[in-house]
This record gives sequence, C-alpha cells and structure tokens, in this order.
Amino acid sequence: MIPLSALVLAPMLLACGDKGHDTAGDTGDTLEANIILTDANNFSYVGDIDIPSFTTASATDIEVCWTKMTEDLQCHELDPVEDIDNIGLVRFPHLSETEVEEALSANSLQQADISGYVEWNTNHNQTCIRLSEFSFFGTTIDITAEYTEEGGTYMLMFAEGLEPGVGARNLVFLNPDSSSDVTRVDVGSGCGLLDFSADIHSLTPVSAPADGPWVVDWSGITSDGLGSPIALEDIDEVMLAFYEGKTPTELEASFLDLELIATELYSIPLEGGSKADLSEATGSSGDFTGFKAGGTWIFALKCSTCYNPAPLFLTVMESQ
Amino acid sequence: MIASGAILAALLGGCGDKGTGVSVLDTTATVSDDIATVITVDWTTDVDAAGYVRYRTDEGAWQTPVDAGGTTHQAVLLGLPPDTDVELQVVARQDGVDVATGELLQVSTGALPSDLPGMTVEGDGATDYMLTPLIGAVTGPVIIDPQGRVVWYHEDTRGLDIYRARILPDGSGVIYAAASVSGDPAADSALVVVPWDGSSETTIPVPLLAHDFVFLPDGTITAIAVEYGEGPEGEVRGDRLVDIAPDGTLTDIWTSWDCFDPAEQPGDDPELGWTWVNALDYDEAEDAYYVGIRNFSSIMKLDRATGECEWVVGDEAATIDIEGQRFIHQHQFEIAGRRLLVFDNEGLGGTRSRVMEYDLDVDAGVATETWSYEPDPSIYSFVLGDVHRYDDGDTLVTWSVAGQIDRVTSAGVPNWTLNTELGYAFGFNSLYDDLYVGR
Repeated sequence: MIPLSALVLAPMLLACGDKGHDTAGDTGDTLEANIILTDANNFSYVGDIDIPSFTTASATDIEVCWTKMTEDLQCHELDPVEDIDNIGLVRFPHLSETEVEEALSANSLQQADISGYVEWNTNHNQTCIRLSEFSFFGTTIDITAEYTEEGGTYMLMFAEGLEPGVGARNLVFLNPDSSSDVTRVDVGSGCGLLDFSADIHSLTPVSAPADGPWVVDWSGITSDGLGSPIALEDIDEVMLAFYEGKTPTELEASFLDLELIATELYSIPLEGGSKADLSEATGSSGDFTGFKAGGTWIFALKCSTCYNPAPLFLTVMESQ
Repeated sequence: MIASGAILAALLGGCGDKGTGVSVLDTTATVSDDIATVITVDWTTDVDAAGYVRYRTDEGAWQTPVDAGGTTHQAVLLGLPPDTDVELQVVARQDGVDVATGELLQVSTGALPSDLPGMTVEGDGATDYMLTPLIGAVTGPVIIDPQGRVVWYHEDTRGLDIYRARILPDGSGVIYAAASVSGDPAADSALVVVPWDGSSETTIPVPLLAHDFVFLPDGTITAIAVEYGEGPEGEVRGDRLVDIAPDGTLTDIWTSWDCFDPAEQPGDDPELGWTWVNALDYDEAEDAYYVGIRNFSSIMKLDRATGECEWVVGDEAATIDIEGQRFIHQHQFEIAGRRLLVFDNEGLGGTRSRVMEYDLDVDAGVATETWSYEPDPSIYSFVLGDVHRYDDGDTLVTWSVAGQIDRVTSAGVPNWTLNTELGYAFGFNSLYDDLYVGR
C-alpha cells in the first residue's frame, strides 16, 4: 500500500484537538513555582479498547459504509455525514489485532509498526466509499496487491479533521480473508469499545493558594496514570476545570466527558517546559482568577498527540 | 566534537589572567530562544586574542573551535541534550597557547518542544551525530546524538517536503532543501539556511527542487531538480542537476536527456515520471557525481568536468551488469572504491526493503553481490532510505518511512536501533562525528 503515506500518519489516533498552537504557555519557567506536583498527586486508570473486526474478501475492493455510526468512541453523538472529515486505512504488517489494541492502550505504537496509510477525505454527502477510492498524495491503493490476508492487520480510522491519524472518532479492523466473499462493511457506533475506569478519589489532592500566584511545577512527575514512565516532553496543554457541586467520585463516572460537563474550563497551550502559571489560563468564560469553593477543581496535563485520550497527569486541586 | 574531559577538568577551576596580560571579560551564556539545546557564549578580551569555550556535562566534556581572534568573541555550544546542566568557561589563546580563562559559568539547556516525537534506543553501538529531516506532524531537520536524543531541531512550516539536510561547510549552521517530491514539484522550493541558534531562515530559491543535494569543495551546491522535456508521446518528467554557486547563481549542468532517451529507456513507472532521479553523491577525488535513478533501478556515474555519463549499474540503461540479486527502486547508496552499498526499497518484493552490497568491477562491467541485509521482522520503506558502511564493518541503515535507524554488524546483528513514535519518518541521513564541521 501506499507510497507517501505512512510518512505522515500523525500519532493521535484517539485524541481530539488541534496540534498547532499559536501561543506558548510555558512562561511559567521564568517564575518560581509554589505548587509542586508529585506522583502521589496523580490519578490512576485502567483502560482497554476492543475494536470490532470485519472479515472481508481478500484482494478485493471493499465498500465501507458508516451510515449507522451515530456515536463515537466516547459515546458522544456523531453525525456520520457532517462530523467525519477523513477516513484513514493503516496497515500493521507484524502486529495482530490484539497487539494493536494493546499498543493503542499503552501509547506504545511506533512508526516502524506500520507499513502503509491511505485515506479518503469525505465529501459530507455520502456515507459509503470503496477502498479503491483511498489514496495518499494522489497515489491510489492497489487493492489486489496491498489489501490481502498476508499484508497484516488493517485498521480504519474515522476522523474529524483532515490531518492523517488525528482526531479519530471511531476505529474498526478490516480482516481480508481469501475464504470470505464479503465485499461490504457496515460500521456501527463506536460507543462501548472503550472500557475505561479512572480513580481520582484516591489521589493526594494538591493544595493551592486561594489567591495567586499559582505557578505549577510538574518536573518531578515520573509516572502517568497507567503507572508507565511519563514522557513530560509530550505534554502540550494544561487543563483546569471546575465542577460545581461535584465530588471526585462523582466525576469518575463521567470521566470521558470531563471537558463537556465542566462548569468552568480553562487551558494553557504549551510548547514545552515543566511549569505553568495558572494566571495565564483562559477559557470561554474568561481568564482564570482564582479557586472558588462549592465543587471540585481538576488540573490535568494533556498530550494532544498521544493516541490514548487520557491525560498524562490529572489531580484534584484544593484551595488553601 | 572533541572530547577533552581530562583537560577541561583540570582547567575549569582556573580563572583570569595567567600573567600574560590578557583578560577575559563580560562573559555571557544564553540559551537560544529558538533551540533550547543551543547555548551562545559571548565575551570580550582586553587585547587581541583567539578564544574558545570549554564545556562539560555529567556525560563528558567538549570544546568549541578556536576562533579567529580579536577582542569581541562568540561561540556556540553544540551537541547538548535538553534539560541538562552545563558548566562552561572561556579560554583565551595567543600564539597557540592558552593564556587566560574566564569565569566558570553554569547554565541549563531547556526542554524540547512538545511536538517533537519521542524516540527509543536499544543498544549502544552508535557513534555519530545524525542530521536528518523529520517528516510528519512536525517537519524539519533534527540532529540526533548517539544516545538517540534530539540535540538540535528546526521546524519548517512552509508545507514542503524535506528529505536532505547538511551542516554548512563553514560550520555556521544547517542547510536543507525544502522541496516537493510527492505529486507536482514546487515552484517555490528553496534551499534554507538556519544558523545554529535558529534565529533566522535564509532562503535560496531553486525552483522544482527534488530529493537531494551535495556540496562541492568550493562551496557550490549541486541539487536534483525536476526537468520537463520531450518524450515519445509528449512531455515527460525527467530530472536535471543544478549548480547553486555561493553567490546564489543557478546553472543547469545536466539533464536526463543528456544521457538517456525516453523512447529507448522509458523507465518502469511512467505515472510517476520518466527517470525520477532521487539520490545524489559527489566523489571529490573523481570529481564525479553518482546519481540514483529510481525508475531505471540504476545508479550512474557522471563526470562533472566533461559531463560524460561514464557508466550505469543496475537495470535499465545499465552498462554494468548485476551478478546476484538486483536492487529495485533504490534510494540512497554509497560508493567507496569498488564497494557499492544500496538501500534497496523494493528488490525483495512485497512490503520488504533491504540493503545490498556489491563488488563493483567497472573494467569487467560487472557488479557482484557480496552482502545483503534484511531485518527480521521485515521493514518496508517504500521511499527514501539511506546506508553507510563504517570502518569496523558495521552498516548504518536508515529505514526512513519506518522511522527506524539500525546499526548492524557484518553478521547482520543490530547493535543499535532507534525508533520514533508513530507519525514521524526520517529523510536521508547525514552523519557527523563532530558537529563543529571545518574545525
């Protein structure tokens, strides 16, 4: 498959968001931190993804339809016509479907794991397309040579946005099999594929002064929420959110919707560094001016280019 | 870079005039705003003197080249990892003798931008710095140290492809070709010069640039560019070599039509183009170019002085036959004496790439296979790819599209492997044992 394709398979298979930033928020590096984060402050979670697999004919043009795909991986509503901008097909030559799922969950996929990528930019009119229409930089897929049972594991990504590999709303495997005569795949809802359980009530909350400054330093964090070594250089956004009347335990049940249900939501885009000044956080309701009582404050360090949508770090902040 | 740990350790404690009348004054060390791993050191001396900077980290010690002398000085510290504490000291030199030292300064490099990819390394067999374009969500040249860390980077945002970068012969920074190889070539393609501190971009417009370029001894650059011309059934896409003189003057020195006829040698991928020249090397001793021609699955020797196409090894238009397995749609290669090392993208068929080595007997008109390497499990780089043979017999293989670089022994055993995270590929790989080129 796929001249000039795997070149730009961007790493964000699951996460949503804009990779580019016009502003850097790491000006906190010049300030003395008064809020020091440690591993004890971090949340923990377990998460698995169970991607459905469709067995189809091998070396045969397959029609892919997503008319019934009305919810995404996070069980958010989805308009299959309007909300899907790009469909990408990735081939993993040496990984099984289970291994791809495990690697997605563990954030451990490498470029060498794939051997091809083609895509189709939707026209927002139709919800069915043949693989033969997929291409990359004008190079189409040679179905008979590139879509075969010997080729490895094939995964379709239905994405919002046009950047390859970024903003996936749903995932399915295609399994070419020479004994199959299936030539059409109907992709359904993505809801239920993610089995995600977060614990944010057992962590040690972080104390923050009621009034500023709020310069946060996370250089001492060593593990992410999975307990894996954290890649601090991947952090590209600070999220600060307030949930009025909610406890941490109550928020766990809505973990995948934390950004949607926040009473107040602020963020700081980062280009690097390990400090941030929360007085620079801004949101739709204005600039962050201080911690208020009557609910739960969540501070998170996010990676928009990681395939796993979970924040690398998330904690509860309490006003002193 | 020259490791000089013992010398530095002995001298870092010293400071000031050694009774020679030279004083090092006003030393400042500044981490670049644009590249967090680059430190610029400025100082003055009260009298004319040459100078350099010694610097060390927990891992070793190095020094900058000795400057040309004067009273105002500047040096750039290179090869430093991110988030690293650095001790540095200016040394003044007269008549080849160190005569004074400045104050001992401590400074730390910063963090890498969060959108650079993570890299993992296995093994410790690497020895060189690798200057290679990153291609992916971030595109631009990076320098990777033998530990697999990015020690220099520059993001190019013009939206073109970048497949080759080199250190400038005067050691002042990096130059790369911003071109378009995927689809139509770009009229606004250019060579781009970036100083070590990343503070500027200087562009040299070269329309229709393609994959590769080389430096000649006089500073002239020869680059591959696209050339359209007549074919048997209309216009075809061939190639040319263009000289870019140090003053920016462009001169075409060769086109595909000078050596080949699209009617006689049509190539095997007409939808892509006719010749599709994709790799270029220069042999100073021979004053000759070696030109990789993808759609011929051949490599040509071109005499620079005469323009003569001396020989072609490979498949189409070949004057030197292959004995053994052929390479197909190859990219970069290395010719050293009679040894021809080739990154063979598609000779194995399917989705497997490999490295081929041949004994090149030009007089006998035969290239005999002597070695090959195919990783297990297989790796496929349908475009790009690079190879280099070390004196100890190891081979560095850049599996570009797979985002993997291996150093393998002659027995085919990897002793160093670097992988990027998903979403990033490498261009061609320019190797340096010392970032201070021209020292």
